[in-house]
Amino acid sequence: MEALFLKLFNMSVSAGWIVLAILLLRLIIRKSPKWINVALWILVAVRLCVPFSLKSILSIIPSTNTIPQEIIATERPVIESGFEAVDSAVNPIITENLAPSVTESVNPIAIILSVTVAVWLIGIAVMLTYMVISYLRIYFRIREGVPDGDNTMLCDRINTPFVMGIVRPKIYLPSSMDESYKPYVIAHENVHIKRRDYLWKLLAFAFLTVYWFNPLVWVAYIIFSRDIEFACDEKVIKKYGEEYKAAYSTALLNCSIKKKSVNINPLAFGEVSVKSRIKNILKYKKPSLWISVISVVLIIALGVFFLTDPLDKEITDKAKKEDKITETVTYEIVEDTTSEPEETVTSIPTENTSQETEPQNTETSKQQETVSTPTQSNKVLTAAEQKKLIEHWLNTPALEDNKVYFNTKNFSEQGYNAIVIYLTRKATKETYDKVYTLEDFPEIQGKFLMDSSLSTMELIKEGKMPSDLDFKTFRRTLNIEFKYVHHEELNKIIRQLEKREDIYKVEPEVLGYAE
Amino acid sequence: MNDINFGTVESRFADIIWQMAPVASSKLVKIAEKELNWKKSTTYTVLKRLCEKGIFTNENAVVSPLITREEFYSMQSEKFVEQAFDGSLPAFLAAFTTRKELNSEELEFLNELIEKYK
Repeated sequence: MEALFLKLFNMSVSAGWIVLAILLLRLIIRKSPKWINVALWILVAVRLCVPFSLKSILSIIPSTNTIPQEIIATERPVIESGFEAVDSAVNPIITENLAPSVTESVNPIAIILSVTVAVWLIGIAVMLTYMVISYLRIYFRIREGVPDGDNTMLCDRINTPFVMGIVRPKIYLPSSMDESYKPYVIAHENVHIKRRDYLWKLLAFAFLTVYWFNPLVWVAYIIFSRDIEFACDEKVIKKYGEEYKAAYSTALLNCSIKKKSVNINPLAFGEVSVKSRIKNILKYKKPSLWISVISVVLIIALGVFFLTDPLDKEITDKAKKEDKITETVTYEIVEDTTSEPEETVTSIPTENTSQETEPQNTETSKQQETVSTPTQSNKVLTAAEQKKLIEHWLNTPALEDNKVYFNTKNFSEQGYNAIVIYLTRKATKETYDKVYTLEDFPEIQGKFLMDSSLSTMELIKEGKMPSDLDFKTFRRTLNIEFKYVHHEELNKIIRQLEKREDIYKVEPEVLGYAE
Repeated sequence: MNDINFGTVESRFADIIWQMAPVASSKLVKIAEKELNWKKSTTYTVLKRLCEKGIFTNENAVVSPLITREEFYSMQSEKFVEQAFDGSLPAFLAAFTTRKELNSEELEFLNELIEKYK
């Protein structure tokens, strides 16, 4: 449900851009026939109900993925509004305050999202209730109507003519209406019926029900409702000619009633902007062919501009990215530490992190190889796998950076025994020999270290790479063990490490639980 | 009590009742369905409304009028003359006759009426 909501949210943002564009455009095309205005709204409708689209470079939409789906799952939640300025203003705030922390068991973004979805659903319920109530109110009045022709009904208790009904729409006339206006009213309503306006309006309201949170959708709905009436008037005059204008306008004027802000069901005759409509009717002229052609071209152009999606952000961003690790080889030599008797490496059901495979998308076509999932502490590499690993690691060209790569996961609130730190190194023999030692990490020094960790430190200090493939004694990791450190304290350390220049990521992993 | 105006549809229904009264409500329903295309529930709803206004009554499933049609419309016309002509019947007649001439029969009828009043 959250994913659905995000998808719909992004769609409505895209549609919002079209609405703005249409509002601007309408000022320019004021002189054109009104059916064009109605047709423009179709673009909005498409955006609101079609979840996918072609990508094109002509797209003007800033972003179709404003709130990415991954925002829940990632460590660094960000939005992609399509505007650098907005992104760089908003994202640091989000990342700082709402990023999931290793020590909390719930992701704040997930909480916010759940609440938002609940509110959204409530809103939908409210809209539906309003629709049902409105319909019922009208229904009770019109069932006392009497037939008055093929598809016309006369009713005492209504005050404006309208069309209602989905399957067999009927025209409802107030019995108090002057007989002389009847033909004009019926002409108008029949155009509505022929064009199936009652269906389009219902569909528009359906959109409003789902997208009620987007004010631009409300604007679109209200203006669309008005546009339908204008276009209907024009069609009537077009059909019956200039001589019709005076009588028709009179009928309209005399049937006008107080305007309700948002009505959903009936296409009422005298409800919408009567004054403007009369003005429009009086100055209506049959449009030349030229205008029609230009209008169609315009609509198609707008379709291309607004119904296509912008090209992938990644493709455009790739060119910008530098200083990224182009390759990460991480692996864990899964082995219980021989010198730590009380530690049993239990298999901790931590989540499988997707960070190793995170988009360090490379400009080069090198593949990123993540071997074992470091979470499964009990997984032991076979000899063949290990050999492959080493070979690969030695044969890959130098990395741009020599960053230390720490592996983080979420913990339980208990204290924990060990942090395993994964190294990402240049895959050459020379740089392999440079090892990080504890001295390189003043943040960690003096914090709850267990002696037993030093044994592994020495191994690394010696920089020995085993000639054979005996992984049991060889540790490629900087294994620092904290015992009984409170998770808050550890969190602080991790934050400090993360701030370091040479640290790309910090990923502690639980190898056991403290008592 | 009779402070109401019939709409066109309601007056058609009322006329039916006045014509057929007293009439069993079930029969009325059938007639209404035929003449007005009304559902049973609609007929009962409107009937109830008219009963509440004191024009008809529905006792033991029989509908009968509390006031006759003439009485009703005379009350209406009283109201109308009151509203439009300050209650002055001559004024009303004068206005009426400017648009429609009275024929000889009507004239004679009026004369007799005046005689009775004198």
